Amino acid sequence: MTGELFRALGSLVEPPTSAAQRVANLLDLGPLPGEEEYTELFLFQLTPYASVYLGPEGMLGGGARDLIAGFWRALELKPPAEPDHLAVMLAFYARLAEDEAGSEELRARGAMHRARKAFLWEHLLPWLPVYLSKVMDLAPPFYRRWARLLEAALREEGSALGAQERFPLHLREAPGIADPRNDSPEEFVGALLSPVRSGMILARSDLGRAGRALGLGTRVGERRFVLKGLLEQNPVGTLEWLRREAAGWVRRHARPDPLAPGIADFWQGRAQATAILLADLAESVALETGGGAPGSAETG
Amino acid sequence: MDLEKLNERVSAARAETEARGETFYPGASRIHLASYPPKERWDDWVELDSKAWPKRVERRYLLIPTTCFNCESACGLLAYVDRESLQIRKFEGNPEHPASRGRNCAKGPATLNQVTDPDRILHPLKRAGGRGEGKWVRVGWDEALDELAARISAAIREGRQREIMYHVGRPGEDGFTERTLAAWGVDGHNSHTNVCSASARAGYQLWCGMDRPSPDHANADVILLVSSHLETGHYFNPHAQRIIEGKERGAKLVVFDTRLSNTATHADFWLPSVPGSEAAVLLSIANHLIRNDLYDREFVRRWWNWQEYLEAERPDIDATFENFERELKSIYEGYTFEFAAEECGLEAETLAEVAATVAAAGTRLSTYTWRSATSGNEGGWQVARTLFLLNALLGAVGTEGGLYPNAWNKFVPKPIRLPRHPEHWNELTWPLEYPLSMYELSFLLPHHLKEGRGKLDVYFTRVYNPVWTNPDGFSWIEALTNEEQVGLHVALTPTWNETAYFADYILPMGLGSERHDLHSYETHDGQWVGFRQPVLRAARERLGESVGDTRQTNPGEVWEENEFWLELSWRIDPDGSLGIREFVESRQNPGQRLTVDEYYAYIFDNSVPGLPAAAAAEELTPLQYMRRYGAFEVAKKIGRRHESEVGAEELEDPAEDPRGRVYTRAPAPPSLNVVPTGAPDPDPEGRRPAGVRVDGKVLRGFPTPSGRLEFYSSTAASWGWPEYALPTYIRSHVHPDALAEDQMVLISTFRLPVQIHTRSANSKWLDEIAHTNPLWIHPEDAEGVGVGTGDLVRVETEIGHFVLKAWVTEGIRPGVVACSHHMGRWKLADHGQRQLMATVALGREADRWSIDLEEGAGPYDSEDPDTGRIWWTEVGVHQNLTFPVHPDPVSGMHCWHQAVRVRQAEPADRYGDIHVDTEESRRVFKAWLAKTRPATEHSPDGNRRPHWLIRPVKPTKEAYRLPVSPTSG
Repeated sequence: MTGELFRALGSLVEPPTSAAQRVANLLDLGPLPGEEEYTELFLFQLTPYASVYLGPEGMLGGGARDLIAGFWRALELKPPAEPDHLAVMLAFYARLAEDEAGSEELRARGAMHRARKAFLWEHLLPWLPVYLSKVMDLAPPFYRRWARLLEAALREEGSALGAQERFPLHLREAPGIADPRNDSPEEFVGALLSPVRSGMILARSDLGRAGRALGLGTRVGERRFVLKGLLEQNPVGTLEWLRREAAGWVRRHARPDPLAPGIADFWQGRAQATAILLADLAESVALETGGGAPGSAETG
Repeated sequence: MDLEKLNERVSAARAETEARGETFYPGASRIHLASYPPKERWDDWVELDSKAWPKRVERRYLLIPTTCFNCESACGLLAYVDRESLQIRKFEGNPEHPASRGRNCAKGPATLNQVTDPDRILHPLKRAGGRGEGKWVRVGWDEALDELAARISAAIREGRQREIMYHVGRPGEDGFTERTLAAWGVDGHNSHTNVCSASARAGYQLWCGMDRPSPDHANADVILLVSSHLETGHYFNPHAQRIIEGKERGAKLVVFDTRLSNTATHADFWLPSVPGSEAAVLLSIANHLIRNDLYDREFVRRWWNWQEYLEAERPDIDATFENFERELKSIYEGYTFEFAAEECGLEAETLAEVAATVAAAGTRLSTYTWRSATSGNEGGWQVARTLFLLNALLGAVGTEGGLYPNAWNKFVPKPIRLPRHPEHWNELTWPLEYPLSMYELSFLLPHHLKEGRGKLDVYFTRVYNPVWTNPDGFSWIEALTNEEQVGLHVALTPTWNETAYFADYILPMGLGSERHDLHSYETHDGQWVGFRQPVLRAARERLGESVGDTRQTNPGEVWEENEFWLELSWRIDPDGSLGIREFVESRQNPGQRLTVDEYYAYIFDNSVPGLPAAAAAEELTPLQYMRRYGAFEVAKKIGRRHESEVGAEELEDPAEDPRGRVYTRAPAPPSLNVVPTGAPDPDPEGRRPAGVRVDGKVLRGFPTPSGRLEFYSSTAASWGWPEYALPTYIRSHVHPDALAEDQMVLISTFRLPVQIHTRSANSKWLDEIAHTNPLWIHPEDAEGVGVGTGDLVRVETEIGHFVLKAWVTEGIRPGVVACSHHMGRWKLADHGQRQLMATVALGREADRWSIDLEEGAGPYDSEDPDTGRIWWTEVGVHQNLTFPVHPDPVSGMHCWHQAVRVRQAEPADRYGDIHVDTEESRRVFKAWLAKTRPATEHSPDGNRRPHWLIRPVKPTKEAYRLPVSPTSG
């Protein structure tokens, strides 16, 4: 059982205090970065809430959070204030593991085992490998080490508990990418920024990268606002940049994942569909407008 | 990487850390807004100084817990005391407090403003000119104490105990001052209860023998509030967090409120009913439960005093439960949804929907009313009684998610020595006309003095401001300026107030961080005690200094009341001849005065179960433990006390009445919890009631005469009110039928969420948020009157009028206007709090009084630079001055709602104008007095009042006897 390890890894998603450093030392993760780096990673770039990555809105809360809270309710427990926060989820997973180990009666132990396995497959594995891979792109070294350790621990749990037959509900229910020719522009932008719909995680820094690559101004605001601004300034260039980004995610998801091939296939499929849509859109917009904006990096 | 090994390493480190009593994982800051400093670091907590930003300057703090003194919830605070300067830098929540759990409303942290208020009173003051003239000289504590002690001592020696009175607004503590008065042998306790909660108490007391509700909101399925409870009601912070927990679990929230309060905005059902119709609606819900057999038959059969009801009121039929059920159906059959809809002005379908929701709650129905409708309306006590009826029908009493009587959820530890009962009866506060009043007829005091029912030699107002808070404030000024009626008026207050101007002494008392008190409240299904302490004294003691007297660490010469009362008592009876000294003499050091440390150390060592062991586990004494953590949870999950069995050892020579009340000669088992409850009378042979037989077993039951829940109140029936013996609907004095065509109802009782009565005016953070009280008026009514938002209106009551601005809003029922009583503070000339008190001129011609506003608030220079940034001028209008007294003839509650006429202001009217005729006040007082049924005519047992009812500082049984020939003196 590795319950405490998950709780400890979860606690490191909280701000880097001296207590957190004590935990980090026990895990051989080295010195914690400063508060600014913590804020940059977990508040500005990759907020550690499952609902952001599993919800069709790509935002905090909503149906995805409620689904996770439902896990507590199903066990006749009161859901905590933020059931989809990574620290809470990992602490809960640890508790399930401990409750299983602590159950004296065979049937109770069996029930707790099923609960633990279900939580892992329904609520952790559907998003964490993707999330952690993005953390490894953007994070300072400490949090990259943290992400690697957490991923390894999840994989070990997954293989120890065995695969789940049913496909996770979050993924089954997630709508695909939105097409601006049928849906509203807001829906399209929202879907691009919803990882479970687009198959990719676009953090704030990614949009900044896009702006720099395209020579466009990135406006100050939340990601929808920024992306909308890019698309308005240079639709073809931005669509093409997004397409290449999606194609990169197709390749990233294509790495063999013996543990959860179905989940990896899902993410790859989503990124693929997004890439195809974006290519199509870029082409039709280019035809309509006769090319991208003058001087853009993509058309120059 | 060996994951298993890492896991073991973390587990071992965590176990080791927690074994030391330390925290391994820090709390999640994003959930709790701010994570709490782990308690093991409260001696030296480091934070960056926000004022030094952008430099990173570290500040080191001692974190000292205390209890908030603003509202009555007794939430925990944690004072951050700078280790260098030994000054308080801020207040945050105390995570160790079982009721507030580290969370506070705005008023808690704003205690800092009160501590640093540049206008606060720092030294004892004595009047120099005539009373109310505004001339003061600074005096020493000794001078004040000696004069008071001499006067009180003389009054006691001369048998004039009735002339000593202590009038309290915010008690903020359990039992210390009552013990002091009892030690003096003085029936002089006068609480503010009758302008606050008397009617709610009456409703609860008559049902279950305990006079406050304690709902388990967090576990309820349906939460029914007759109050704006989520943001302003009693205990709103501890309750609000639990109501939200209940809602998170899926509980439905039903709110009765004429205004769209913040609470109403959170409701699943908002019922903006006609004021005064609440009981009719509640009875229609009860009728729905009864008619459709949706009530808990077993609970009703076992616990209601239905047998007593049938025997008393229906001797013509057999006293069987089946007959009672038939009877019950007929009693309430008239309360149809259609009838209730007619009364309350809402749709019958809505009421049916609410009734179905309530029915579905079963034993998880938590209900609450405290002030609101109960204190607004004549007969408001029946709102509490009909509300409790719903719990009693569903068996939701003492259940998870249901309603508890307060005494089960409150812990008042027994003090060092309980004094005697006073041997006389104070008719100024307990007049013969109101034998069932829930506590003192406090707000009638000026009228009683004027009628010559008595006089006062020494009158203390303590954190109380009757001139401003009570109705008919000009009559208060008349009484306070009459030295024949009030010999010496002593205002014990931390800050200036309208009543203190008319004092002879103003004695500065400590704020929440400057005094000791012990406090417990019924915030949830559990029991706890909270300790208020002077934090700078505790800080110095933690640093190893010894502090003899709280004045050494408080600002100026501000004292704490406990030491003041101990010292005053000591001086009243220096030689012990009055029998007072023994209650304030040290046990550890005979011959010396009891200290605050010894007083509380005794309680914590002996009267709080579990505390000595918890303290010992941390190698602390119980007193040190309370100084360190500020609160202790005595018990959790109390459950159904009434169902617990009375042991055979307690049943010595038992006797049983025909209805199963069981009496015993064995003394009551000793209890460390001295929370007040009803005290039912012994049987004719003198045995005490021990329980009640239910289905063959002797169970603890309730502290009522019958031992059961009293659906039928034999007390009401036998003391002159038989028509109100059952939960019923009494039409209010502001019922639409009682209003003239051009009258509307004025609701004046609601609070502003960040203010608290008379005490928070010296909190600049709060004042900036809320500083005025416009008249809420519906657009239809505003159109009728011809005013818009910001226009001046004149509101006419029975005795005068006031002028203020209109606020046109859909958030109030048409036909009703509302104005919060939290505003309209005023001062005369230069003495007062300048942020929230307007300067006014008092005018008087015989009985005609007026207030003219001379100057509103404005910026001024002081040691606090923020006072130069005051941007508001209007501070509201003092409407209570224009309200006559409306004592409910049963509960004695002042019925606050007013029938008013609202007109456009006249050309000469100015904002803040107030005009009142106190002769009219007396006429209204007499008209309401005529509604009473005095004990002299209706007492069934020769007593002034049913002895079993709760009463502060209960006199001896002999004092309860009616005077042979009723006098008025």
